[in-house]
Amino acid sequence: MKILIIIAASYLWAYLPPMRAAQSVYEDAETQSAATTTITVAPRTLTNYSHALTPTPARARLLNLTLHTVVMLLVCLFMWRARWHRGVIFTVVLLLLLHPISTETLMSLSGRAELIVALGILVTVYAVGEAWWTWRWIALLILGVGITVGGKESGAAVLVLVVPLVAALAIHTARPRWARWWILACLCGVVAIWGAEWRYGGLAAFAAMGGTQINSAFDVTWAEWGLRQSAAVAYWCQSLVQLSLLTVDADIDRLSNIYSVVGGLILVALSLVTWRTHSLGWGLCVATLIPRLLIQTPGSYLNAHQFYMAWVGILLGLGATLQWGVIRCGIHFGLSSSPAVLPQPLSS
Amino acid sequence: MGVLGHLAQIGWLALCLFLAQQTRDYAQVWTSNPTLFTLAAQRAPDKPRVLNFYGLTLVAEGRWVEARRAFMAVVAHEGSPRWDRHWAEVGQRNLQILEALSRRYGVQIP
Repeated sequence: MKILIIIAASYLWAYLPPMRAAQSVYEDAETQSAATTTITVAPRTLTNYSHALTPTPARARLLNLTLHTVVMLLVCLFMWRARWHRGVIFTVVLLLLLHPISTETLMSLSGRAELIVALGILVTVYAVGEAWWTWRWIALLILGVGITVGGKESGAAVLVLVVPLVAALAIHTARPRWARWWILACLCGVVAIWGAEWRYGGLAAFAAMGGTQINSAFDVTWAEWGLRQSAAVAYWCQSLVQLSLLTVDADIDRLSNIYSVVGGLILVALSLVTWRTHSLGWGLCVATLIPRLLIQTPGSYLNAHQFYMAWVGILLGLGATLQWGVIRCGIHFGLSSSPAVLPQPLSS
Repeated sequence: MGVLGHLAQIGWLALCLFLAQQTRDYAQVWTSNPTLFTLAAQRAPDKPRVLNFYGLTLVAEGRWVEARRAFMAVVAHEGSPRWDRHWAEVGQRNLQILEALSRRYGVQIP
């Protein structure tokens, strides 16, 4: 209990004074101008609606803080259901709430969309990890996907990447024979293609919408595109440890090719670890970073607030690794009465 | 709880306080454009987009000499890499506007 109080107090001490003093910064005015008081079947509808609820910079940041706290509670729900060691849970909560990589998400209006997407992805993951073939969980799955797409266009990736990933990783002990992961994947793919066709006039048009127009990058080769974006992945992974790298607009173009190689290797390594260990966290990290490599063009790189969901995935992956360490190697957290039990599948 | 347990607790508390301080400091940077882009210009001193925004915040603060230097640095890049050439054009335009402002208000920018 003392630990939770220390974390909560530190969290509020770190964020509340700057939030109260905050002015409108960077792209805030542009983002706020999209605010609307009606919810329609359109991308970012929830995000735009939420902007209308928070007209002042301080209120907008407080809502971000609240959403971040809800994301933390959902992450806690996963860890609690997986019966992770108390020390592991506290470490993940500490890093999620207090690591400065999340600061950009909480202190800018652009971060709102990422927070809503993260919320939607976690609800979706929870539904798919349970008995997704029953009506109750299907309803939650639809709600999760709706929240995600209502947060941001790129949230549609949850349908084609996250849902199949979680369905494939989750171990369902009492599922009907027809409830295979690839059946859900095919259904989601059909819905995604139909949705893109109906709402945007095709997949190409869907990919080219938003702030980062693909057709504005005609003179960029595919190699430049992929290599620069993977360099951005390596940069943000490095900034998790080297905090002095955190900035609103990192100079990815000046990074050496080593970063591109390391970024690519990180993604391949995390994919392999996910495949071998069935780790939901590492899988979520890869599944939320891969669409970024495609959507972002050179000149509009992955930034800290777009790294938010990948960071949640990294923390869940780190937690799973620490849990493995607790069981196999006896890692000590200084918590004397915590049970160390084997992790359970999502639907146990 | 043994020595190892106490050490783990102290380490954990130290990490908590360190991260809280770092986060608070970085959140303070996000409270206004001048603080945000001053840090951004320090951490990405060759990035045209950052220098442009930094120049604009300097203009708003009345620091025209430094703003001119920032816009000239943007123009000096001449759109390298080529997908940043848009920002070199923006920098050129900002430089012209700044010079027009200095003529209008009779301010000499060395």
